[in-house]
Amino acid sequence: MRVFKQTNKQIDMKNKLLAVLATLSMVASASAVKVNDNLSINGFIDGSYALTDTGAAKTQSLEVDEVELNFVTNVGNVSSLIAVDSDLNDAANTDLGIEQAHFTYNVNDAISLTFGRYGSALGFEREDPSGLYTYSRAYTNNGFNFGDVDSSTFDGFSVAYSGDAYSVAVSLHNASADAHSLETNDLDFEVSFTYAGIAGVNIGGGFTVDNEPTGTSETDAANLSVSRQFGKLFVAGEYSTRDTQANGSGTAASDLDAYMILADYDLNNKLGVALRISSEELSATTDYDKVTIAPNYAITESLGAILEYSDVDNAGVDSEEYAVELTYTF
Amino acid sequence: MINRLLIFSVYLSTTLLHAESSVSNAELSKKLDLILGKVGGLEERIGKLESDSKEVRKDVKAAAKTANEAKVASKSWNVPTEEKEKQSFFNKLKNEIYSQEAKDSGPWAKKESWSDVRNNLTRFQIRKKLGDPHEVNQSLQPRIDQVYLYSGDLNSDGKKEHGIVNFFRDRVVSYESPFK
Repeated sequence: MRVFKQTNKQIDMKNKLLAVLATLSMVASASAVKVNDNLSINGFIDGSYALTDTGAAKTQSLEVDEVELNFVTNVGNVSSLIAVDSDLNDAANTDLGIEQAHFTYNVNDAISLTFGRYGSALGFEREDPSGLYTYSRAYTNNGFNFGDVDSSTFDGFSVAYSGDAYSVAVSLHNASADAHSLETNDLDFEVSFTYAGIAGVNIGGGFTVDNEPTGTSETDAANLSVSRQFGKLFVAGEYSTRDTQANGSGTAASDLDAYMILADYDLNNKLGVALRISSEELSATTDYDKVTIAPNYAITESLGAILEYSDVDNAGVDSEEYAVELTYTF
Repeated sequence: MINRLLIFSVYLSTTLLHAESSVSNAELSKKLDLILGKVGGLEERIGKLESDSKEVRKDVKAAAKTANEAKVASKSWNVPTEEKEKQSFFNKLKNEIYSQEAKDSGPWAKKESWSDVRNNLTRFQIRKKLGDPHEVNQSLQPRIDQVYLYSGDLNSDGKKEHGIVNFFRDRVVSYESPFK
């Protein structure tokens, strides 16, 4: 067997070749990772312990409230969102479902068109637990919880115009995502706007018009919210109204209002505390009033805890509500 | 006799010399022309050769310069033989490659792109300025509903720099440039 003895020059050349091969292999592996550059997946797991004490009775719950996966894509002028979730609060229906699925085409910097299933653009309290300062929502009537996509989404399309500091959007949609058939009358629509022209100030609002066939009760609603940041203090206020027309077959006319004031103070980077006072009309003579105090703590950047205490007056029936909520976002 | 012979030889030689001289002049003139022609040709060829030689020298000089540069450049490619140094070398090489990849991954890797970023821009405007985000995240902060994350090692130190843009209702509410 012949044995070749390598000279220093050959060893040096061999090392160089190895370095080049190592370089090439690393480039190849780095390129392979870039395949799904346009797709991001995020989501959350939310769970809670809650206790309601009416004096006469106590009810408790410990459960995973909601799990959600969001598939977000950005490809040139088109972006999209598919939100898959399961509302584990609803024992009768814990299957995974499409909460939202829509795509947006940006015609230019100002105009965008969206088609799909989405929620209302109105409401201070937004979708999902991570959009809330508290564990519970302010209102018991979901008609006032505009931003709660777990309660209400619809299929349709919207046109939005974004100026330097303001945006206006018009959405034409069906009555709700659960009622796919188009109504015999016109589509429902929503007009919304936001204004952020003053530093630290956000103003949002709009109205929804519920087009129903003649003889069917219609409910129109309007909403206005203003928020402002004062250093570590965040203050927000919201006013909403819902106007239901009588239809002559049992549904009485009603004109209900609701309001909410919220203050959130950051004690430090991890700990904050929110105070919310809200009131809504359940009918012409009864109200639902709620005072909530909710310290929130960021255990890590992606794991947060909210401890909540609420004093509720529901049409004259008092109760105290306690909750601990953990939300993990990823 | 000797004298006669001597006289005869002198006569003959002078005669011959005279005759030879007259022939040589004509031929000499011809030959001279020929020689001059050849010398001219030689001068021309030498000139050409000298000129070619200059070109060659120039090429050789340029080649030597390139070789020298390559030699200097290749010095950093000398893979150390010691294990520690070798590891350090490959780590450095890896960092350089990942850094280059990050720099090529879009406008977000350029400092001037971030100078155009400001509050109230929409997500689309941000994507136009910084490119598509590497990750789209949620936030626990209710005042932030979407986070665009750009990340990559921009200075070859083995650590990723992060660019973050926070949105609320499709508007930038805060951001953090990777160029601090």
